[in-house]
Amino acid sequence: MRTVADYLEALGSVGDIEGLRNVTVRFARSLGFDFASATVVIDRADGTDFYCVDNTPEAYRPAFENEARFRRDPVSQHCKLNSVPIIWGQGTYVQAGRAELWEEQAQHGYRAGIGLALHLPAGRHFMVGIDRDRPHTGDRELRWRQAAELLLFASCAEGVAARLLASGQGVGAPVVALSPREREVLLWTMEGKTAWEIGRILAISEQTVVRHLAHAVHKLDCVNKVQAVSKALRLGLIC
Amino acid sequence: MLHGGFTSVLEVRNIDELRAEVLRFTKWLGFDLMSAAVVVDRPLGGVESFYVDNAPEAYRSAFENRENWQRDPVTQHCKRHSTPILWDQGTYLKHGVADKWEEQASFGYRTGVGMALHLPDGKHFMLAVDRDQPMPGDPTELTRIVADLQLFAVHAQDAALRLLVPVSPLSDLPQLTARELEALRWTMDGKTAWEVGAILGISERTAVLHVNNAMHKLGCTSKHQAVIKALRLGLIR
Repeated sequence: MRTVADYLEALGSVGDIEGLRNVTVRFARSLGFDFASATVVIDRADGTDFYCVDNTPEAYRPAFENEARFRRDPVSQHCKLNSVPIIWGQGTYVQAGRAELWEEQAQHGYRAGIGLALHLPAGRHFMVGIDRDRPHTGDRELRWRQAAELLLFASCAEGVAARLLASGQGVGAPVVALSPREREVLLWTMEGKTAWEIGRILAISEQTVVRHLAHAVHKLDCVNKVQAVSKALRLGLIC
Repeated sequence: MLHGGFTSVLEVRNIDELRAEVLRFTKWLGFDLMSAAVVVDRPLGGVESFYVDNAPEAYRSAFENRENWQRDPVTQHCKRHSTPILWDQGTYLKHGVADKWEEQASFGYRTGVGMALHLPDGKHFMLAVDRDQPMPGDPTELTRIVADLQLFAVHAQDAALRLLVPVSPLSDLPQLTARELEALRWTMDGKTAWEVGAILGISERTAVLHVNNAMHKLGCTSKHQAVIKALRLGLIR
């Protein structure tokens, strides 16, 4: 029998999105779940971007991808706000007053599942869900074991997923190489210092500060220093 | 099954209860020593850390200095990765710091598991359990230990952030309206007041008004400073 360790190893050699989907689905099946999804979520100023691999049935996809539904879904909302896994079933939806959502998804085979999200630096999140057509095992310890293994899988899959799904989106993209001075002036800008003040602090001329800032703004593909600071923060170049 | 499951740590009310709960889990997992730390990045470099542990006094004084941590391959792994690390003497040998292992082994730190959760807003939660005996040889058992540690960590992180890190009370945070936050978010993206107005469907003057109000509430002298302060306070991201 394959153990979670085998799937972690398989993640190491995943080279494309299809490979990631494959390992994720096989891992879910090994735990006794038919459906799996792994989603990289990135917060943006103007909303949220989602990049997902899954084996969601085509018929259920419109509901699965519906944002309004996502906001009403108690499992999604739990994952959005918490770092601990949720082991859900019909009861979860009934308690949240969303029994009708459960009825609808149950027709597609989503009767019970485990969901969790990792909330990471720089406005990044990684959500993983495994679902199935039958209720959870009655064995409480086994349920928690499944949740623990899903979490372990998620923490190892996150880096791979970010690289494959969201590269070029500020995640896993080639890192912008800032010089130490550019980094320094961005840090002081973040502290609310003007270029003149930074010049005094670093004992360089205001002009030189402005030049460092302009380089940083250019490298980060921004239009001004404030956007550069927030982008550098988001990319984890400064903290 | 762990008595009280993984969820009882969510309920702890003070640092002593947190320490007791982490220790209870550590023993249950089959380890003797533990440390749980919240590390907060400071804007201009450096970090602040807040922790609970049950390290022997002698170990603590021997390993107090910072250089020791910079040489420690387990700490370095946790700083850079989100995946747990199972370590033993071999880990230290491989990194050329066998002497460090020898020294810590005399205090009971022979093997262990370390992990870190890297969280939003420059915060990190590190959890380590250690012991005097070798790790189990059975890979299934090893995986179980790592998976359980991680599951416990995500439950403990909330309590640790809440109890260990001193915060200014929430009431001290400036209260910005939804519109003010929206205007700041677009300013963060490099938009001018005119553009912010166009995006939000309001006049440029109103956009300037929202940004000015936000500046005033944040005690800032420019809109750019206001954006950055709001970012640091976690009001926008």
